Amino acid sequence: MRRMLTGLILLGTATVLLSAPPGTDRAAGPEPVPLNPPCGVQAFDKPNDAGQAITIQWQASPDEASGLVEGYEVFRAESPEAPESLWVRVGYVPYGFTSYEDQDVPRNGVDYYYLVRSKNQTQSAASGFSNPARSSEQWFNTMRINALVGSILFVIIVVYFISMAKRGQHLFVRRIAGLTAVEEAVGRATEMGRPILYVPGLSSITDVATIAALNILGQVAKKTAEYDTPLLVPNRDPVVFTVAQEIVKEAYSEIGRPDAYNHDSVFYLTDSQMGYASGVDGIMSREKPATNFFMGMFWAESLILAETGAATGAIQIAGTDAVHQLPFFITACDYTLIGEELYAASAYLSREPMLLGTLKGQDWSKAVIYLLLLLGVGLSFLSPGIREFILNLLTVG
Amino acid sequence: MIKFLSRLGKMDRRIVFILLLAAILIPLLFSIRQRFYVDEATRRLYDYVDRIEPNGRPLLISFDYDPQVAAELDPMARAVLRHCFARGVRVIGMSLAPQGDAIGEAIVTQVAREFGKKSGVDYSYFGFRPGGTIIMLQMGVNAKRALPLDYYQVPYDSLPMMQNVHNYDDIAMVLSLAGSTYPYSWIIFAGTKFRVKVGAGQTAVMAPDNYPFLQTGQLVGQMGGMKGGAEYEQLICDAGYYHKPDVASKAMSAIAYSHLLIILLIVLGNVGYFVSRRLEGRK
Amino acid sequence: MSTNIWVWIAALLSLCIFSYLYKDNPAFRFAEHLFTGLSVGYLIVLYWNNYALPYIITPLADKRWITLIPMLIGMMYLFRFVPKLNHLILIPIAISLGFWNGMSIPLTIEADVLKQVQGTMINTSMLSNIWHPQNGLAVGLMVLVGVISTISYFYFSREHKGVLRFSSNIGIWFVMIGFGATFGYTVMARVSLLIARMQFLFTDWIHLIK
Repeated sequence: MRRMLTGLILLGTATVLLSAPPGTDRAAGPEPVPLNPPCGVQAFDKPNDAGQAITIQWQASPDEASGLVEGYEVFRAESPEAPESLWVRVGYVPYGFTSYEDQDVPRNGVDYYYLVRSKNQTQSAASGFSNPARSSEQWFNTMRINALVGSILFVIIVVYFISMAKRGQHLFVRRIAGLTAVEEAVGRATEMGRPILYVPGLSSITDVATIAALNILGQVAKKTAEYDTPLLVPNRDPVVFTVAQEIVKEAYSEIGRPDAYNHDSVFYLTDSQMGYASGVDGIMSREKPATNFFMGMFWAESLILAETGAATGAIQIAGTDAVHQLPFFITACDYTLIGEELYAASAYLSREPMLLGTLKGQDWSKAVIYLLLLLGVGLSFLSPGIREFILNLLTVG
Repeated sequence: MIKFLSRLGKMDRRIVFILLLAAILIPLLFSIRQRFYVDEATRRLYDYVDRIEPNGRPLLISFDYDPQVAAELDPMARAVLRHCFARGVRVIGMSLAPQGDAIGEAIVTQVAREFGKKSGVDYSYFGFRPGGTIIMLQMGVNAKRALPLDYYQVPYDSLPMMQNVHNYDDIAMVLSLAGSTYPYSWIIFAGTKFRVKVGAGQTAVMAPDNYPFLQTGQLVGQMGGMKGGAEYEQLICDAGYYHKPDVASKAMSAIAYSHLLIILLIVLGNVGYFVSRRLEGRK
Repeated sequence: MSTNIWVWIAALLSLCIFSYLYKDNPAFRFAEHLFTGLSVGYLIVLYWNNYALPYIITPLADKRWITLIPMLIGMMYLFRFVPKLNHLILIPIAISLGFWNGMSIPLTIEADVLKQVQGTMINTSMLSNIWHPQNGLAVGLMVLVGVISTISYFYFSREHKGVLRFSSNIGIWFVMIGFGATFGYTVMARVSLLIARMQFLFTDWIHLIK
């Protein structure tokens, strides 16, 4: 009987032990510390938008510093007393962020409440409710006034200078150093009795660089007409070809030597990029021009052209706004018009009001940026307040 | 010796080609591995993708490139996709370059297969969308109108993962892979106008153009050239998202040796140039 | 060796293109023309499926007649072939130019001018971290001097004399260093393309690299 009793007691103890809730009697480890929620949740209408957006901000959970928080979930409800099922999860941001923009607010002009939960793989903790916030739409984005002022200023400057140039007022543009080389190059070809090769780029007529190249071609053609030097102008684009032909013809007439104009000096080669490059290479090796001009837009063929030209011993003058091809031209040519210098050279030579006005407009815009930078840097060292003010002035919302 | 040096400047280009071929092939054939550091711009991109919520807002990858530059950009695309799929981040694929259409499809389906991901659920590929910047603008207003059908002609509304994607607000980041100025257009027409985060994968030729935007934070991060791809491969391997480095990492030793050769040739060429100029001067 | 016919075609065409390194030859020409033809064919199909079908034919078939307006404006480009009506081509050009300028000028001013000016301004917070590669004072100063001097090089309304001459001389140094960096990157780009082709030939085609 005693044995039976002892057995029952033992069995009972074992059962109690086994059925005890985990973490009470067995003391396997310390109880996990509950995660701290974020606090100070605030909600407000997103300013300067088309409505249906509310910005929510909060203070990070103190546990973020110890790396316990993975991110924050943002919930929205129409009433702070709403049951849990009515709180809609509107978004998630990883740790490090303390704001979220709810872009899917169902209705404008209705109050909504928000709460934020800090979260990791096993736990989450909810903050208190935010203040009520309602979204609304605005007609005008005041944060972009600076961009508007900048745009208007830029347009006014350019239009003003174009109209000045059209009215025939003298606009000073300094002489580009490379242009002196153009004259020398034509003279050299004349002395050597060899032709001049002019490549007006590989792009179409819509490219500004091509237009600049054609303007410079006009001036070069005038010089060749004057000295009676043969001119070769191979083309890739059919429209550019027609325009180039007209320009050269006109240049010869202007100088008073229409008879010297050779109809075959401006010709069409091919539309294929590399086909064109090898065609021009062939001309350079056969005709051995004294001077090569590469003006306009170029792509991967730039080095192929300039390298072959250098090998034939010609003087080479290049000009392009293709930033990636400029290094090749600079290494392989005697003189290179870099980027805007090409436009400036073309405006300087042609005195075309549109080009001249735009160039002057750009110069003035550069002067404005220049002043803004110098003033900004100078003043920002005076006081942090001024620095903030200038940065805000430049920030577009 | 002086004669030899002066001749260096006029070395036959075919000798240069053969030397370059050797500098590339030897490290590849003998599987020589090269250690390389990870650039800050790539790390910033990686860190951003690493913090996108799994199964949350998707990442948009735009395959804005043609086959000519696929060698540099394919490894980047694969590495980023592996990173996303390993973390459970959803991906939207599209292309603004006509020939990027098929390239994107091949890469997305290959990596999706590796991770057992389903089209329409874990990723959606929309193929070529004509219009360039127009598409970028339209996406900011109504993504469904910009991408009405996916690559397999499934309507937008029938793709479960696209249900909550209305415009850029529902996209975690736009990553433009390109050999041209598409990332710049994304910065202007998506980043600046609609305030979506923009990242870039660029060919080495175009990569320097974007440094001003990295400095100002207009670009989240950037992978530049094949090295950028190799760096991303390295980062996902180090983090355990993928088991082995891919083609770009394998190519790094060939890049290193060929660069050394080119530096050597530039130095020799210059020495040759100055020596021959001096010789001519004496004459 | 690969047994895949497509790998063989790709490999042989690659070799045809590489043969140009020796000199121009019919194999190179063949591959080049094949590529040109293929891309034209590919583009026609792609543009038909992606432009004509979804933006013109389908909407018209659905009787969405509003499509006719942009379609007609677009078709005005074809007046280029009618010499007498050539001037009408200006209408679609004016519409698209107007749209693009309106769209891009404010955005470009914001992204390229305001943001960049903001990024170029050095500030007192940089003093605490002089050598940081991104936000340090040294880098900040270099960027500032670079921007100011380069702008002065590309300033055409004054002769380069005095301060402007000094500043623009520094500017051209920055420009040249920038070109050097671009050149270096370009070398990497071209070498990468070659490496990838080698990886294809020796891995996918003749299986020499594992």
